[in-house]
Amino acid sequence: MKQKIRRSGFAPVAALCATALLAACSGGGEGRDGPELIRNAVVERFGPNGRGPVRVTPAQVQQLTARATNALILIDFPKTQSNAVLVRIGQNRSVETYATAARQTLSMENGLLRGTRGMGGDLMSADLGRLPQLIARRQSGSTQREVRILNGEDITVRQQFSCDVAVTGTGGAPRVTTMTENCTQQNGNIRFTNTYDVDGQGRVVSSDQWASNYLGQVKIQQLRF
Amino acid sequence: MPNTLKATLKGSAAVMLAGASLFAAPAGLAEGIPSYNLYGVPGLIDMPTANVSPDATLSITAANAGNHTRGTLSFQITPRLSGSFRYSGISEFPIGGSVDGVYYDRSFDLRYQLLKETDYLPSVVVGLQDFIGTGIYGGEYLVATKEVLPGLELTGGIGWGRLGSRNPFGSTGTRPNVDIGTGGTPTYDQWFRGDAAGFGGVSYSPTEFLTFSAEYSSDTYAQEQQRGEHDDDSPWNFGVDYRFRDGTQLSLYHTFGNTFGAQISFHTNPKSAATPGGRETAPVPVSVRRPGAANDLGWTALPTNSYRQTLTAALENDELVLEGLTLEPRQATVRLRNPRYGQVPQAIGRTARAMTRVLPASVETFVIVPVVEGMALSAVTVRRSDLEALEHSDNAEILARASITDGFGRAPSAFDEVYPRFGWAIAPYTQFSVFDPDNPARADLGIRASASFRPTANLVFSGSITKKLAGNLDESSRNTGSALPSVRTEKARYSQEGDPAIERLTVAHYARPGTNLYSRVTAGYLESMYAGVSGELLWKPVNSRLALGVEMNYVKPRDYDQLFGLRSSETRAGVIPDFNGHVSAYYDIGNGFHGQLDVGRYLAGDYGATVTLDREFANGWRVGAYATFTNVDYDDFGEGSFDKGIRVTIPLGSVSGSPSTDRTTFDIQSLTRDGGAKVLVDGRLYEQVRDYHQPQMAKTWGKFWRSA
Repeated sequence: MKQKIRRSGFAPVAALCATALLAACSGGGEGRDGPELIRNAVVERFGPNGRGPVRVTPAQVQQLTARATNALILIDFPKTQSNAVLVRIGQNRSVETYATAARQTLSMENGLLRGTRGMGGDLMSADLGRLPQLIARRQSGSTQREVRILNGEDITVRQQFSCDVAVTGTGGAPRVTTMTENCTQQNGNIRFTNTYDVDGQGRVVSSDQWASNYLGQVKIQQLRF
Repeated sequence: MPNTLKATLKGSAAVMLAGASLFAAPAGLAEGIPSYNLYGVPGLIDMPTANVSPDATLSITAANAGNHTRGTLSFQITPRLSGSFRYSGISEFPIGGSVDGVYYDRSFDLRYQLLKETDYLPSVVVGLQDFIGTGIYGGEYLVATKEVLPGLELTGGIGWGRLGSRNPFGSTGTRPNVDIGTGGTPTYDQWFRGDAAGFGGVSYSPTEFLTFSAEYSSDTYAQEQQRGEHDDDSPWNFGVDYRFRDGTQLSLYHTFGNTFGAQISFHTNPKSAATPGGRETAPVPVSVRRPGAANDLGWTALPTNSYRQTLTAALENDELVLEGLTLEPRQATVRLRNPRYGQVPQAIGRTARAMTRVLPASVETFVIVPVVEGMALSAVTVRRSDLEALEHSDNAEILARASITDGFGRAPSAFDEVYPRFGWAIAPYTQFSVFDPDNPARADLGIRASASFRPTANLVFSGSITKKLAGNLDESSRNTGSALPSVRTEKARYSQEGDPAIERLTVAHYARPGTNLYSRVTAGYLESMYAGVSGELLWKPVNSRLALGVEMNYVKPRDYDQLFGLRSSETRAGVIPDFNGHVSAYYDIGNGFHGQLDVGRYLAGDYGATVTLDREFANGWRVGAYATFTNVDYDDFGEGSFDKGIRVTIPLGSVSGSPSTDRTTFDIQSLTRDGGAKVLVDGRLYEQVRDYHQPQMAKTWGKFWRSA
């Protein structure tokens, strides 16, 4: 944690700082974010895996859903074995933004991923082409998508994909239409397959979508609309 | 803060730790990095190959074979050009300048790829080894490498200089003798002259982790045989490299037919941050106004204080500071202080997002004026409806609609409670001195306490005190004289007597005297060795690649104890002049390169120019070199002939994955001498200003929605 020590108690704090040799302290916005940066650098070095996957249990999910008054989703990143429940915190026209308690967000247009934040290696934005219409109408077809990410130098990289969307099945209770989207990168070798379960109103109720090369696939389940 | 840019191989332990982890490369980096040799460049064992590392690869190699110990820092400057700096110790080599039989030397190499490998043609590289040092490792080569079967590479080359010493097959002119004198000037009269000999080798990599190599060396170590101890029993050297998943290379060698050698190489790349884009928390979503709400001006009749309070809290949530606010029916102007985000567009973006959530719906134009030391650095204007429409779009679209203009006169005045402001910090520090032949690396460790007091936005009283806990910087006794006043060479005495020391104690005033103009006046104990007054004026149009500056300093040397006293300007070899200063030109060349030229009078009264060239990365990394040429004769300057060095700037935000304005510069100066020395003043203007201007803002604009 960044030390939030302020003007009061200056002398004892200073003495404490002086004795704890490797602990840097500061106040009033002076100095460096030393301890926090060291900790982060260590986390960067050894990876968040060192902390182990963070998971919510099915019981907790049920509890949260029962208490919720807002739209709610459950996401699962197989790559990091982490899952989380996100609550809707904003809506900009057709794009809804959901957030975790730890200030990570995911933005979707009718359940289709448009961006992530705070996850590391985020999907900055995406242009989905005709995909939202195809999904809503449960129609097969082809479409283009462009995704934008930041590279290690913090420069925006744009990746274009050609995608084929197909209806691959129906079933379940309540009844959903399963749709598959196969995407191939133009001028590159990234390939991914997304699947969407679409309900009778054309809403995506659950999905398995590619977020970015860094994040990999993410499973999204709409717990509450 | 930009003032942390001053560090000359010194900094807090926090910075050092972050520095240590920078060579902890992210997985997957190893791809395409070839084997490095004993000289710390792509090669077999002692001989080079024509392999080339990916653009911007930064490597550190430590190697030993026989009497030779070498430490090398290499950087792939462009996709074809690379440069290396090497510090080596040759033991049992009792020539002039050696200490206890160990001869220490610095050397610089350049390599350029003439031909890239194709299906039929090999890669071809031309190399200059030790081309501006004393020339002890001097040699040139033309080398070709081709992968003939998967994992099997053949290398053949022609060497001159020490690489042309075994069985030369011909000769191209006569090569003048090696000049082991003061060193430091290009040895161009020797390049590709004299005997030429062939070298070559083969390497085989059965897996991506393992490489076996054998080479025929064209270097007989003639000088070492003649003037020191070296047995050249065989021209054949053999090696095995093991490569770890992160690219680190560990090698064992059998060399010269009689000894074993080893090396370890670490690689990193400024282009590959551990987490692309960082792992900071998400920004708040843009709040979209209800249709028609923008016409409601009812709020203007009511008190507006609550908007200010809510916006202050919203920015605090992102560790930004609202210093002032002007609220008009259709426009809001924010005075913003950014202590957090090294990528300025991220601070602007987060501020704009917060404004959409807080301000009345009729406010359509947002003007964000970032302020540093009271100076309004720019004014970023965005339309609220553009923010609403483009929140989930390509960041290039909002950049195209935003305007970045001069901040002169645009900042609202600061709220009453923002100033006076007080800050303090206590942190450990380390300080290094390298390349002293008596002890190639010395260090001090201690505690530094610093504080600042700002009675108004533009005025800052600040200082720092250090107390040494351990170290051996004061043991240095080397004082090879120069014919100049001792302006820097009494460093050891300052270290001996300055404990505790007042590092700095100054009052500084910053201002915007006019459009495109920035000014600074600093007075007091400017740095550990000098007190005085420093004044600076900078011209930098907000959208210009070019900036011009002028700096004038009046200085007196401080007492060795670094308390409040001054000492006489008279030194053993002359009087330290009262006045020094420079005119400077700064230019963003494009393609990631940045140049700076300073012309003026240096501390010792010598006149000359410093040329600096940096490769800069959008995430804040910089790798550069500089050289200072003054009217001092090379002989008067002493060892090294002229001041030169390389520097690596590391943004802590990129290393830690968490936003920060902190950056640390590791400045590897060839030697601290009296010629070409400058006074070290905190808070020089250009580095404070440029991040808030074009073209820097556009480069880092990808972070706007990462405000987002």
